[in-house]
Amino acid sequence: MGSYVSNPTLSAWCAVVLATLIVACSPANESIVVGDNQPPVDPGLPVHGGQLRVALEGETNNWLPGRGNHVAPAALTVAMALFDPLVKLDHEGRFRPFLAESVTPNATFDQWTLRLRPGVVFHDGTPLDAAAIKWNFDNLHKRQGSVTFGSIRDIDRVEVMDDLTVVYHLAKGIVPFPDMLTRAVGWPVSPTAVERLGDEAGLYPVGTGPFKLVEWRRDDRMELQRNENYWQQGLPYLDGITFRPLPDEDARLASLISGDMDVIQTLRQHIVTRLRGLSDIHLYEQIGNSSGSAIFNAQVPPVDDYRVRQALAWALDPEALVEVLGGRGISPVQTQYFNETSVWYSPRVAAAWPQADQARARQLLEEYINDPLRSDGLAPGEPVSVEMMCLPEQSLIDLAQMYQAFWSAVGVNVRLRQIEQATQIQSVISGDYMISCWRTSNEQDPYIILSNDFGQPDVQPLNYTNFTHPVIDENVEILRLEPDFDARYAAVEDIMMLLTEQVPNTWTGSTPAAVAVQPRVRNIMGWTFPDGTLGDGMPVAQVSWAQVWMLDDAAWQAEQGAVE
Amino acid sequence: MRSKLTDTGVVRSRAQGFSAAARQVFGRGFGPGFWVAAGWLVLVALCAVFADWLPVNDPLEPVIANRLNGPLTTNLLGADGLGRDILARLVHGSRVSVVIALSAVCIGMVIGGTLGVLAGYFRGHFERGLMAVLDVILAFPWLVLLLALVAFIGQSLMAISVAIGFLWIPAYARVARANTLSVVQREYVLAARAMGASTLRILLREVLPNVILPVLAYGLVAMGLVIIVESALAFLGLSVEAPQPTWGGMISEGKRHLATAVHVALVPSVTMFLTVLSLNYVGDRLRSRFDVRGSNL
Amino acid sequence: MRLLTRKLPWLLGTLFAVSFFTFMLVSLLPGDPAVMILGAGGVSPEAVAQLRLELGLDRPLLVRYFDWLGNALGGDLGRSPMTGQSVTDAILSRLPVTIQLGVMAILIALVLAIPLAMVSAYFAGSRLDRSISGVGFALMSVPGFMMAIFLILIFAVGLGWFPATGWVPLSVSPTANLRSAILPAMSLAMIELALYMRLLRTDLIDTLQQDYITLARAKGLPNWLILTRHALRPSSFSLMTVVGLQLGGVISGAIIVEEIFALPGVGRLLYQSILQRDLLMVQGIVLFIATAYVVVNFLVDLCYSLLDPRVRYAE
Repeated sequence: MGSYVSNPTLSAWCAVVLATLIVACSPANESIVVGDNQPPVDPGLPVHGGQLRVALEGETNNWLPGRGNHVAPAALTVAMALFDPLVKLDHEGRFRPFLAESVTPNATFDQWTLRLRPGVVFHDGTPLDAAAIKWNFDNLHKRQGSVTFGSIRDIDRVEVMDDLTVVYHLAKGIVPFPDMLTRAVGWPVSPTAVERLGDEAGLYPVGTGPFKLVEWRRDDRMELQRNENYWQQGLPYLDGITFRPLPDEDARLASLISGDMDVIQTLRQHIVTRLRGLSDIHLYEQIGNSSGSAIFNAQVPPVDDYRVRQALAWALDPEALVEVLGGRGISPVQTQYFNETSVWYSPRVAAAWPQADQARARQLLEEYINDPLRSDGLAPGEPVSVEMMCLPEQSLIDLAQMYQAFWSAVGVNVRLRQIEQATQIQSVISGDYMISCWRTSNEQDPYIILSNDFGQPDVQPLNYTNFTHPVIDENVEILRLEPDFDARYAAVEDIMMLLTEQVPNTWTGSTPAAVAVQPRVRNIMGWTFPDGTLGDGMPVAQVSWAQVWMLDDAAWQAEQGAVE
Repeated sequence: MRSKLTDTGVVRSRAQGFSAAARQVFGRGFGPGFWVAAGWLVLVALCAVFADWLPVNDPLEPVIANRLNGPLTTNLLGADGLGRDILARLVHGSRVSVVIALSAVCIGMVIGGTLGVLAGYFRGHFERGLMAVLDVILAFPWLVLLLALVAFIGQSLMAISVAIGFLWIPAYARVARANTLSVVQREYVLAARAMGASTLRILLREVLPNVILPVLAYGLVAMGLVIIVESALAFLGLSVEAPQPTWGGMISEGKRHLATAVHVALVPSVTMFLTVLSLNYVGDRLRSRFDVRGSNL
Repeated sequence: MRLLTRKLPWLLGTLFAVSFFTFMLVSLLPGDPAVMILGAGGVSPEAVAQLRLELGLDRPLLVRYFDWLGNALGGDLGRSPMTGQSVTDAILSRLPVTIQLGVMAILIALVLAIPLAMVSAYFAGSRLDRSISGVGFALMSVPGFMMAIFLILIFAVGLGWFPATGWVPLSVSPTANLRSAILPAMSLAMIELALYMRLLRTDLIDTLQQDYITLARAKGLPNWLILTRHALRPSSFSLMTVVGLQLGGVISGAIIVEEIFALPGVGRLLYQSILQRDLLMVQGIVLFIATAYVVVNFLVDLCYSLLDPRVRYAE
């Protein structure tokens, strides 16, 4: 035995070395250069026809508004094909009726009259009338246990005035009320279909959108075809769309490069970086308000003391956090609820936001540590200890470790806890946490966002930080009742200035939404309202599919010939 | 006089038996591959024990400037997505692998082994009941059991070890039972029983020594599998909590950078592969020396 | 027949225990399904209480268990409150993917393992044997997810031969279906391959020393005939047993592999449902898998007893 020289372990070692070499050499080396991937300023003339293949970030659990999770980018973009929102935003961030014909308030902004367009029908032929709107509101949304219940708590009821008119009765005047109709609450579905399908209504969505469902194989594909009876004449341009969830970012990118997909969406910085380096595609980008954040529970010591929260913010270098996410040059560092391109953005707040100054951080911590009345009850001089929880998702794990490194550097003991989403949401909602990774802010109106995030915790379950302040309450009231933009802007700025001192949460970088397409695909961002007003593009990679088209061979060759 | 003779004879034969066994185990005939593999395992163990004193960088300190640098640049084995030294993380990560492998296998061995020996010795209802429970446990995909266990008991180093150790109880119970069954029929056990020795004494003096070697030999291979299981858990983000480096966690971190910096995933993959391979190989060679057939599993 | 009547109660008892264990394990997972349905944006204590009432989560655990078991016996595993999909439908619609994956993996493993093991056993102790064993060792030392990642890196990203993710159903295009299934099946097959190979080799070496093989040799039968006809057949029983016992391993592997390759199979559904705390879905799938495992192994056991005379007489 044993006298044989050849032996399995040695050969296996050699095999490893060989495999290492193969693997190390195989992937294409992508150097970061800026590719020629700008979409044309003038998309050219629309072309009818074609089946578009779109790769999404993920799958949606349920298509029934009020039951499904319709805040993820993948859900929002598919919803734009299946449903039409009653109200959408234009390029200046103003509400405009879209599926509705008009939305008008009374003098006190607590009764809003919504008039529907005549002749609009759902995919199953049911007419969209006032009764359908009321049915949607009563049965899908204004019902304990619906996902949307919390967001419409200020709407008391919907009253049918005539066949095409309803009035929303609000508990109090709210100037930005139409914002509530831009999301799931404002996507009417066919009452007859929902009643007929019962428990399975979430599997077979029947809306008024430009495309209707052919087949949905969950986690695999969703086939849509053109809605021949669409209310906007001549739209949509495409014959159909196939949506496929490809959760793996690299795989989704590869599917575009290989030509398996015509359109992909992403909200990850490091993928946007790689997309920018590609040629032979068109890349559309739009920065969003939503940002990764660390939220502090203002009722748990030691982060109940604003000095500790502020110190933790000073200790962070957001540039480095963004860099770790792969977002250098892609997503600007966020300093407030609104990003640099937003109308609500304030340069004054940006300058005041505490960041990247370890000396300031140490000084504030010193002050807290030596305070005999320090809130965590430890003896003066003892170091501060905090606990942070994060989801077990790789980029968040990386991020959490950066937080830990920065905070340790100023003498804070940090314990990281990885917990599943199911446990995280529960802990955050019940206030059973100290610091948590989170996403803060979104594309809604400042009143909606800020009244949610900083309302009294006993009546406002969405106030996860449990932070409240009279200055915020005062200014939120202004936002609720003041239609004048300048006054509202001043109110937002006041709140944001307060947050730079109180720091209920810290920020990383604004989320870049990107949609990359084969060059034949046109008009991803240039959608318009029926009257020709330019829309808001593609917030959180939510594309308005009705006005997207794809060049057929003839048009493509003609265009190529013209270039040469 | 006569009894004295036999006594010394027994002692002598036992001593001879031991030295023969030692020669059999550690003597000639293992070949260079065995020693390379064993050497690697010793190296990993040393890293685990002396990680804090070895001249490597801080495994937790991010240096953003070094981010994703390749091997033989700023860092010997390159830097990861946070600019941390991969070599240092490998060295410190070995600690998790070693601790989990040792403690999980010990838990499985002690609990499963005890149950198996008792079942094999007492038979009857206890044996049937135990085998039924084991059948039920084995009917569940191990990953599902593990995910559930981790959700219950958390993600500390100890909790993960216990959860993985639990998975090994059925396997060990079966090995121990199979070996006990064959031992119980042997003459010396029957003789001891006939002589009226207490059950405890028979179990400890006669059965245990004969069951423990095959169970231990199975241990090294089991440790290899434990490392694989831990890495699968880490891949799903559910192993020991950050920032403690683990090999599985490092591979998982590297997956994000596969397209741009292969080494981040490749270096820990190769390290883990070599360790598991060595465990399998050394374990197998040792096991074949004890001539234990695994067929009764 | 006598065998069947004796073993059937055992099978039913095991299945009952499996169902109970499944229900308890899943129901006691931390995290509230009602909170997961409502999401961070929709919860308030009242909404959660109301939804728990609607989902029947307020009833005692044992009542829920027997309710569930009663329906399950009638083939109704309930309806997922998150997706509105019937659990039975969801499993059935995804089963083809997982079955195809598992069958392909086991076939690949067997097709490679049998000849390799035969060569290995025939030339036991030779260089060839040792190299084959060495490869087996190496394959056993690579976790499934690592295999998957590096197969993707080499064959999908590097060489571009196969797609990195996605699934094409058999009904759409058989060739595209095979292309999309081959890498995941390979990642699953490799560990099985090593296991089968080791087992078969040991078994064959044993068989080759039996008298009837010596007799066949003496009769001058060619080697390949002895190996395939006379040696392989008795070993196939133990191979069958191991394939059955390894089913649980294949399914655990499928969870990770389906997740990496984004395949619409049962494993991915199970993992996602665990994360989402879609309790009815998890319970249904785990019960289904565990039952399949128990039944398959029961059948293997039965075949074994019926086909192998040695065992039949021993009984």
